[in-house]
Amino acid sequence: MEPIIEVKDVYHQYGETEALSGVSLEIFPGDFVAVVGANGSGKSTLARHLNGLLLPSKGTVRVKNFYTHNPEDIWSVRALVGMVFQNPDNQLVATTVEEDVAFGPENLGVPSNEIRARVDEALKWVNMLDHKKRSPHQLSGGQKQRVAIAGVLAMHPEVLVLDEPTAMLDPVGREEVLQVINHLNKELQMAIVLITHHMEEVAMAKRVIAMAEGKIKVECNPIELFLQTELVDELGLDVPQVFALGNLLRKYGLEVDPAFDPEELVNALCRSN
Amino acid sequence: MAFDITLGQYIPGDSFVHNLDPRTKLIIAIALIVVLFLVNTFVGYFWIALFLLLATINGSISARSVVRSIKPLTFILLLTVILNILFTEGDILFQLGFIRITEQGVFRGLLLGLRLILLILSTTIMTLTTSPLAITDALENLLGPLKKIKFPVHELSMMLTIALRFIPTLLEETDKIMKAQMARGADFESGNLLKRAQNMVPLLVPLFVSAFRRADDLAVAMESRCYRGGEGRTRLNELKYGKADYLTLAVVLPVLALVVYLF
Amino acid sequence: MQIELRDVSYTYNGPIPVAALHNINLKVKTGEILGLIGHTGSGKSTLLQHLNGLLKPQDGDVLVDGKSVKRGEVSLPKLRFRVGLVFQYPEYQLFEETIFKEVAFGPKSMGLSEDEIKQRVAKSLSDVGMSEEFYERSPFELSGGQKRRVALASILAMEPEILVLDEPTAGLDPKGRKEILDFLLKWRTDDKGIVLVSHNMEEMAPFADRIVVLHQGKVVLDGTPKEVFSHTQELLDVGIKVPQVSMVVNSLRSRGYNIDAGIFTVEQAAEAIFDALRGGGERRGL
Repeated sequence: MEPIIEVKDVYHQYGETEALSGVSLEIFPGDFVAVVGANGSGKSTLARHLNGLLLPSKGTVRVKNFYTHNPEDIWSVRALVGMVFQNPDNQLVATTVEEDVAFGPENLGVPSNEIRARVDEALKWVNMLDHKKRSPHQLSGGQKQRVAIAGVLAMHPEVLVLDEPTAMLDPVGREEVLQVINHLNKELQMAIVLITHHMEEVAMAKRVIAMAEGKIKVECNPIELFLQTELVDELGLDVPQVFALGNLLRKYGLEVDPAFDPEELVNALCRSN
Repeated sequence: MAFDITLGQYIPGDSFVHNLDPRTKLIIAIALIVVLFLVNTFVGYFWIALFLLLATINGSISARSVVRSIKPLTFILLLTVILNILFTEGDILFQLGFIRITEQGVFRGLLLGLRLILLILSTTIMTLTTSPLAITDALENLLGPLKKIKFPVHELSMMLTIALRFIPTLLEETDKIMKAQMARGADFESGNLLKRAQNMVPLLVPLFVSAFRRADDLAVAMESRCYRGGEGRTRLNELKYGKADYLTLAVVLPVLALVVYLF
Repeated sequence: MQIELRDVSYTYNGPIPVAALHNINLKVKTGEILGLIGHTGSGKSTLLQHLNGLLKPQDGDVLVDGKSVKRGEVSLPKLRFRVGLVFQYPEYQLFEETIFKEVAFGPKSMGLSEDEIKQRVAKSLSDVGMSEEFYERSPFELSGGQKRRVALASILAMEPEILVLDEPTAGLDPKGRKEILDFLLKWRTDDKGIVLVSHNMEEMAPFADRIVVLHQGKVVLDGTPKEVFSHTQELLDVGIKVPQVSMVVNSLRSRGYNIDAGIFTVEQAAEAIFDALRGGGERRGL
């Protein structure tokens, strides 16, 4: 399978510091990759290279046939790689939900009647179709983020990059957004790159990339990562509660399969004991 | 803490007036304003008032909304009327020491007062029946020809839309910051004008900082959605003139011209 | 110091009146860490603002050491210095040219002498781990986590008896979260109290002496963490995300295992589960 995004040996010089030091990565169709790391590890910088907001000082970022460093290609890159940011308010630009979701297609010069279809479809995917005439300030954080996601979906991207999308949301909002992300990955086979601090979100991913000091330290599946408790500590991360419980029980001598979900752990416990 | 601030004064509806193209309404509003300055008789104003009354009834605009829109300008209204009554030369009706009230003065005062009210009404009816977004779309469209002389029509329109979008957000933010600073002992209420201006610094600086950060974030988000200026942009809701619009313009504009001519 | 909310109700006036608090009865005192949980719309924010007099109760009363706020027996400006309220994302309130001035704002508003102000600024900045080299720097040059510490210091400089924090760890990475929580534990002494509002039960649980759960403007649970967490079903019913380990314990209990209700830390749970499953067997790896 051909990767949609290929990051090859990318360096990013930021003044005196090297924010990224030789990062290589591939994102495939249907992928669900979580990117974690302490503040300053380079994960946000990496995210911004994926849609050409930042350009490498060395190395290349290729999205299908386009390179981010080619000025003529940059708009094609951004139509293929959609990005959602942390602050729900500072992404919504129009006075109503539907106008905001239309913003992307409008920029792409999509004909008027097709924009209508795309807007409705995108809002349906994020369960916000009923709210299409509302104003942004009337929405909750979770609703705003879902509208932001719809705004990107309306451009028909192949990859959705989300930079800490739930950091400013309450648990209800976070749940809504994560449900949408999962839904998009499973039903639409949308490739997802999720930058996050919340370890429970990592559990949803197929692959996790842990960064530190501008480098990729680990690339594996979530279970493999959280079994290595010392590494997790070193990287400045946390182990999600249920998994940590499993780790501790295994240490005490109980046999139990690793699990992220409470019920899964309980089932595993009952099975082997 | 949720408090709903309706944008502008717009109240959605389905009347003839509501459904007119916003450009039609904007053109008529501007025409009305021009006419109101050209006409100087009560009779002329009577006809204009009648026209506005028709529009009000059709748009299901409540008397309360009308009164509410005039309220903020009551002071200027009264000032205009009183100043004109007191300081116009002419045939004296009443005199008490310094104060001289002339016939012409009363006439002028009332006329100008009425003009002000009708001016407010003309624009209010438009903003009550047209969403802010539609108005900016109309402006962008009507000013379109100016693009030929490199006038940044699209950019201004975008700025206006974004500003409108963020007004409620900014109000909420102001409230939050005020509370946070009050919790540290800031005092926004007491003191003379100068002191109070000084005390605003803990409110204004964070608001400005936040505004800059917001502008930055927004620019990045817009670029990520392929925004690159007005070239080649299409619109979700294309403005289209309908029969109602042609009819309205064809009837109203000549009638207004007639009023100017006759009165 | 003790603040008591007695039958407090509050409604926001607006185009649509919003009833935020209904008959709240709550005592907050020094020497205790109180955790307040409830999701957006539960009235948390409104309740907090009654603790430092930013809001006055419409019905009922707030008593500060027995004196009534409603009857004007309490000086509200002074109350704000005794009860330090740190809002969510406090870094957004920074405005001064230097960090020193920023932290000095509170003490200055209190009318303290230059020397006292200097002392307080030095102490509170040191408390949050910022050395003298930070004094003359602009608060705007700092990282998010550092800004938050400055904002916290600016409230600490008022030397409040009760510190009220609304989601102090919001938006921080795991390391940042840990730092703030560790600091709070150190700060609390017998003559100081903390009220902590959080969505994150897992964070709050090992930490709070008492937990109060708010739902739609009413207090639905009030007790020790152990007591509150044993009401797992009630918590789920009002939409509170219970700590994951409590859910595990709850589920095992419903399958007949004899495990204490009200467990909320990983260590406690591991011990209890091991004992229940191995019936007193020996734990390895200790």
